[in-house]
Amino acid sequence: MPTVTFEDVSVTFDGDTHPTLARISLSLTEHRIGIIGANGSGKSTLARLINGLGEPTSGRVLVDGVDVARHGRDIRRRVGFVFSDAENQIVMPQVRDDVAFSLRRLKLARAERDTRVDAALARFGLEDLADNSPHTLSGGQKQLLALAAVLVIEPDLIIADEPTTLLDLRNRARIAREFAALDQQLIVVTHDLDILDGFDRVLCLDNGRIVADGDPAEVCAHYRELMLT
Amino acid sequence: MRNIPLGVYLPGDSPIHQLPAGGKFILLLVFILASTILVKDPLVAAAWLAVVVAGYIVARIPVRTALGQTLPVLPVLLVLGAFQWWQRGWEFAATTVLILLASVAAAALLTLTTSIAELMAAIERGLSPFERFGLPVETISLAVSLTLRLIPLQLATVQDVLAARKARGAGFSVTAFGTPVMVRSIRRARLLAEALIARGAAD
Repeated sequence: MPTVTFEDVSVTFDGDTHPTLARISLSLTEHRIGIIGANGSGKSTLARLINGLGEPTSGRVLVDGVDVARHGRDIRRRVGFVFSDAENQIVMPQVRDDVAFSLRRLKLARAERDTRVDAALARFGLEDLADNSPHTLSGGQKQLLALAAVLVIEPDLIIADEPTTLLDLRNRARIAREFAALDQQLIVVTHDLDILDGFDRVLCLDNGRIVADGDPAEVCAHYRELMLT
Repeated sequence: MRNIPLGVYLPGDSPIHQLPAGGKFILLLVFILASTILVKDPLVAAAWLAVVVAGYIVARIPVRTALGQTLPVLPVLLVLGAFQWWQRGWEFAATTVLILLASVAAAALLTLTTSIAELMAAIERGLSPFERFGLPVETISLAVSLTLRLIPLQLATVQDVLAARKARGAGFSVTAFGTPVMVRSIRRARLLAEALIARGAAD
């Protein structure tokens, strides 16, 4: 598994007086890691730093010792990102092309590209929808397409930012099953505590600081207490 | 939302499906330019439209799909036609409307019979000689794809805003319609830009 390291990382957005993330130092080495916390607690900001979608105001984020802020291009070949609203992640007007789009930067031969795209679509049962426009898919199918488009590059680490927020119960369960089957390291930002079953580690953020870190059941209990009292 | 103009591809083995994507694209450009420059008479314009209809028959496009792809633009064309009638007379108006309808239908026929991957590959191949002069070929191809992707998203945004206005019992107001459409469009553009970065488009 890759090692993600935060070295005294703070993020303060322009115009804000308080930091969104305040002096975070941690090392993430486990297979499946959850990040929970209230709205605005800094969860998504933390996750986005790992893929280079944001930059720390101070401190460094490293993936296997490589500084994300300085080597974003190399990092993004290893770190896939799933957004909460798949609609905004799908950039091509046809299902197959959207999965193939992820492979553009790898400059593969056409036959290999087609093989990988077909395998990714088949894995999520989307092969019959390959020639469809994404707008004809259901919400669950769109999220599966987004996941297929990330997995087709065979990343070492997948980050998912609230991937089940817009899904119904059936599709939430489907995404949870897909996550459980992943061999790659997985970091999930979520309000959906059920999806954290079987996870190895959970972090809880509050006001830009980590207030609980460790066993999922204990951290989720701490979070419930924090939210409901 | 299933009849979004330029948003549907119907796989098939008709002669039109089998034409190379680049050839079809050039034919479309020639068709639009020639019809715009040469046609001055409504009967001739109707004949050009008939040529496109024949193309739909040869490509075996279902009538419902064909109408779904072309009719959404008809209200706009009719407003334009009414204005042209008032300004230039009925013959000019009819010619303009028929030629525009034929052009839209021809463009839809191209996307109905050509996968976007084929079309993008053809555009990239066609423009590649100009890459050495600094033409950003991949960026142009990506821009075309994104435009096609954004058509249904933008229509959905407009429908959402209209539904929200209706739900709140508001009357029509350009500001009340335009402002949320603009704000949502800008927000979507920002999110799409992030997705492109995350997926390595800028690498």
